[in-house]
Amino acid sequence: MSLRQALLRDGLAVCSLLFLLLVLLAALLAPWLAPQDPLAPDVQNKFAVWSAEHWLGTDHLGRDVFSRLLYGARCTLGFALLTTVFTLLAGILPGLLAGVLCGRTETLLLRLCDILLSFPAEVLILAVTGMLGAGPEKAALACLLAKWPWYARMMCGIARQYADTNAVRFARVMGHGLPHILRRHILPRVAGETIVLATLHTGSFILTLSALSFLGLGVQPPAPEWGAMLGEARNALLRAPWLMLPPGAAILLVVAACNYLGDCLHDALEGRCGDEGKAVFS
Amino acid sequence: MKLRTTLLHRLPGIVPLLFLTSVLSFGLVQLSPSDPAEVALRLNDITPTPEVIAETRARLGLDQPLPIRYFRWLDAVLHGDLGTSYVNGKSVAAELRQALPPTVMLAATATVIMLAGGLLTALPGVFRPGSRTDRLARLFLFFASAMPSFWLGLLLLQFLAVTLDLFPIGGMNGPASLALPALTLALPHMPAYARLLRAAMLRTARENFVLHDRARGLSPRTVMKHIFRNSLQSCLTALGMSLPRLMAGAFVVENIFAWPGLGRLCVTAIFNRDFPVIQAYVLLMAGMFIVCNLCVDICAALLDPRQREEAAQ
Repeated sequence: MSLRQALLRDGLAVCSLLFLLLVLLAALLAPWLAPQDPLAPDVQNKFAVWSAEHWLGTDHLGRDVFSRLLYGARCTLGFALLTTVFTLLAGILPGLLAGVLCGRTETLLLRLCDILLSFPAEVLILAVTGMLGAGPEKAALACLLAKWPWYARMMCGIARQYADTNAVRFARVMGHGLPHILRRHILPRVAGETIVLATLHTGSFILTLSALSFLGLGVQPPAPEWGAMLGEARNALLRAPWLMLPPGAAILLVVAACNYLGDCLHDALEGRCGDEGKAVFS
Repeated sequence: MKLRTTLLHRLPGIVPLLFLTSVLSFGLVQLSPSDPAEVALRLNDITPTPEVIAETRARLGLDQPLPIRYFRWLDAVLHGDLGTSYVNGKSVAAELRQALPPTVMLAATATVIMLAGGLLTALPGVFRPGSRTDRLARLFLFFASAMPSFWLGLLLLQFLAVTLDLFPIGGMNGPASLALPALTLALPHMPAYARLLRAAMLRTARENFVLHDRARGLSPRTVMKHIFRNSLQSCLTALGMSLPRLMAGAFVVENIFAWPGLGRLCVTAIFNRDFPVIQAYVLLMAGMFIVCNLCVDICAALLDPRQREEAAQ
């Protein structure tokens, strides 16, 4: 059964996918959709509750929360997606190489990954941000350094599986070099599925990166990142507790959709099209 | 016998690991793009002129070559001296010692909550799969895994501490103040453990001894007890590592609830660019992980009756 069929059979997976696409579309079209400028303060009108003019009210500087949420989708998702892509790239090459070369290279890489993965990502992330200081690109780098071994190990396993196929053996006998084998025989087989899966891991990246932004270590205000917005809402907790609802709910829903879709795809790839996640709602 | 082989096998392995950790946490500061001497001066509101910087570098021992500095640092660390904070000039070791008990307390409470919650939500999936309780538990776990801990913390703070006034808002005073941070810390970690426990129990339920139990006509309750006990052993490693894992993950929660623990100390130090504190935090956490891992392995070797029997033969 193809991936598409597996997904389409599950109503909730379709909903998650549509929701994610909708959020992505909203992020792309933010400049046209947003009713107000997300950065324009209006101190006269701060802490306003929802109204026709400000759909979700205004924050402590009178900025429109709905517009900030739309632009925040851009900031949060873009940031997390970019980090995921770079982490994936950082993991793919060593992983594939080790998987194809086997032998000592593989053992060495796997041992290194085991050591790095035996520490929790939080300690590594704090260590790297501690060294480089606060800032979005530094937070992203910290995430990358903490999570690449995971991808490297996964890719190594996948490549290992394909390195034993007849096509690869034949290519070796024919005297093709490693780059050729990687490009022609391994990458095309693993690329699609892994990239889709990794995209859905964006959920966990969103959680980590927005947590850092919430603490002030990632994206800096006044940028409308959802975690940073929560950080600002926290300072206004006593005055306007409702301010924390929109960004938090946005993170929760996007991450939940990513996770559900990711689980579903994972199960479909494993071939036992999931009663795991699905039984939740059926 | 078995214990000794385990020890002999594992102990030499941790020496290079500990060495690597020390190199890593020492190297972190060296790799930093900003000059520690300049940072130290700026923190104390001294204008960093070249002469003053040179003097500070000499005072902090930064003018020595790298290997010498590393061994000096290592020597000091092994004697329990983790340096002094750039910000307040206090001994870092003393600050860590002060911040460690609150974090351990928080993580331990969170572990208990996590285990209890994980077990409660895993059980229906094993014994009544597909029932309404099972679906409810899965729904709960699904949303718990997507919940950003900082939002959960703020929500709990707002509804339980501010609106209903059931718990103190923040800080550490009394057991009541422990409840909200521990809950916030435990909840996002619960799904992973529930999944692990469920998988382990389902695996055990298929084993032959369970069939034998059933064939002997033991009551379902006793069978359940046997399944439960035997599955716990297989996830002992993960359970044992949950305490250090939660300690490392506590930094967000500690910040929200103004909990005077290690995570908050480190995040404050990051803002202040207080390198000795960051370095000590990384070293402590990594060291703790290595030691905990070793302890868990030894415990597993001690507890597993198969290994004990092997030793006896």
